[in-house]
Amino acid sequence: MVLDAQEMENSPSRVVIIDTAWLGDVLFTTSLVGAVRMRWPSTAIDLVVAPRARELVEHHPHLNCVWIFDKRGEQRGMKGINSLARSLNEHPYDLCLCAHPSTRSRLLCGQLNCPVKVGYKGLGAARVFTHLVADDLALEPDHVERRLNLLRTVVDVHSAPPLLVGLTEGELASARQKLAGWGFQDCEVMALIPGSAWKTKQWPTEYFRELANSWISSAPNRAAVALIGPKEQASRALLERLQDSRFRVESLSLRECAALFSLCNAAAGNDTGVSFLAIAAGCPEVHVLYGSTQVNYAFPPPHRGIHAGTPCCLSRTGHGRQNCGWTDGEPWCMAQISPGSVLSRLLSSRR
Amino acid sequence: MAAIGSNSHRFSHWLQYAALRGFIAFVGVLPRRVRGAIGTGLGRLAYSLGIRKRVVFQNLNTAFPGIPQKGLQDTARRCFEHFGHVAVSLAELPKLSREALNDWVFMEGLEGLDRAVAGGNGGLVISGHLGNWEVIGAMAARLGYPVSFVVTTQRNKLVENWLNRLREQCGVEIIQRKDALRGVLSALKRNRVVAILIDQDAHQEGVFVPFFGKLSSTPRGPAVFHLRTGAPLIFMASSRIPGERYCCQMHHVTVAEGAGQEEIMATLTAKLEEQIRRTPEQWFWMHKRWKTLPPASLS
Repeated sequence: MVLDAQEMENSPSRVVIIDTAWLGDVLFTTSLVGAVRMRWPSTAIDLVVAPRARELVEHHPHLNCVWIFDKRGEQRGMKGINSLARSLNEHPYDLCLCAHPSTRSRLLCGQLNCPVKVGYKGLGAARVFTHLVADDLALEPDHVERRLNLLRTVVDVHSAPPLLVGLTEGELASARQKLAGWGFQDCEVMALIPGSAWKTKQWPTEYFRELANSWISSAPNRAAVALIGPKEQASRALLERLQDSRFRVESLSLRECAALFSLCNAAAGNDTGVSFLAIAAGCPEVHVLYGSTQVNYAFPPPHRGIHAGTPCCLSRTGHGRQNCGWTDGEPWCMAQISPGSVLSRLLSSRR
Repeated sequence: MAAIGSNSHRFSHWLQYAALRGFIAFVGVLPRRVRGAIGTGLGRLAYSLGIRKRVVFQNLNTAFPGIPQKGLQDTARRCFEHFGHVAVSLAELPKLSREALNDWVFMEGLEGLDRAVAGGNGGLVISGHLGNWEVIGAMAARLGYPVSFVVTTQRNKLVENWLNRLREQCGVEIIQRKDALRGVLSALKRNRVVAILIDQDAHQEGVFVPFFGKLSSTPRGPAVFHLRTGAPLIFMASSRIPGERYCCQMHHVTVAEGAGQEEIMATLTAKLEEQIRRTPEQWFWMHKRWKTLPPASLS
């Protein structure tokens, strides 16, 4: 059954949004969640995510329920899809928005007893969805806009709501305690977000150290904290060469990072997923450094995507390759973004 | 067009012209994807033959100091491939229709042209040899916009005349560069939208503005016409996107009150550089952009 937009003007009682992609993708989907909430304030909104994104959407103020689809673990294969679909079908959803153009997500949508299903065009999509949206990165590169286009098939959506991660008072209090413990409570704090598993996305660790050094040297009340993941311990030693009481290297959970970001004054990083988390957590100014990856997000000012603006070994579509095709080590394009240029951007917005 | 046997055309020009016409006629009947593959092959062949390769390498080294050797070769090869695509896309011009819009040509910011035409003062569309300016300009003309192109003369008059005929078939009016002053002013007076490419060396007559960190002689025409007529400046960026398609974005350019020729051209050139940095392999690196050296006082 295909409902037309007129019918959808009546508030649906329950909406399910499916996005089982990576952290950054799910953060973009929070904008779609916000758009659904703005449009239908009393509608129940459920979200289906992969286990890795559970942390990000816990305590999200607009979500009623978060479903976990462990597509690579316990719910692997058709059996897992059927089992989750059965659980979802116990709730009468009026609208399903599938924000992830993967076969598994499509198969899950196909099993839902939902009158209006909106998804991206692709293999088998016409059989699954009642409304289709073009998934053309070349023509609609903005990840948020492409998600909002799903909702636009049934209602008007004008502006994109901000990315949002819900934080509890307890988490914020704990982050405040951390800052106080480091002696940063009265400081202008910048968070550094190195990381990313892909070489083509990594800004040299020395550059992060240099940026931290320049930042804390630029004013007596400035401090910096580098947040590294469990897989980036090799960077720790390089970063810790900067011996200064106003610089810390920390490994925190995603939610701890989010709470800390919300208290920081600025952030800079090449790990796009965590950098978008900083934006969603309310960090006032985030600078995301891009190498081979295409800048596919219209950063609301003063947030910025910084691109080297040089030729690249990749054709800059999607995520590209994991290793630079031009150099044996660090990607040349990332090395062209100087710490000085990032610092001058940070300082210029402070003048 | 000159008559066959005219003394003004060398035999080699006839040969080039016949080869080009034959080739374009051949690729014109092929499906777009096949044509694209032929364009890639053509570009690779030109790259392998080393046509203007040294100039491309020099330019890339100037614009991107320290680019790895692999990067230099890779970007140069992709640049040749791109212009292979641009060459074969000429086959689309005679059959270009409005239906091509949102099929293989995508245009954003057309409201800027609408506003310019509604203003009654015409408009100046500024761009460079980036993406596919020919197809985008022809598409705008097919959509009913009164488009004029300022074109440079070529050594091979047969090819030049044929290219101009192709453009005119799409509804584009041709203004020769040597008659630009009179031609552009007349076109603006007739409320036409004049497209000018600003990325070719303008010799000593140009204004020297930074381009990839180095002063380059740049045509001052757009600034002169804007200051003289008040015609709005619209910057057009075009690019090739996956699936053998082209897209363009047009943006209105605001210049500071009291800005002179140099400032206006610097603003426009900076915009062009920004676009080239997004798709470096789609700019015409074969041209000696920094050929004219700035006077000692500037450098």
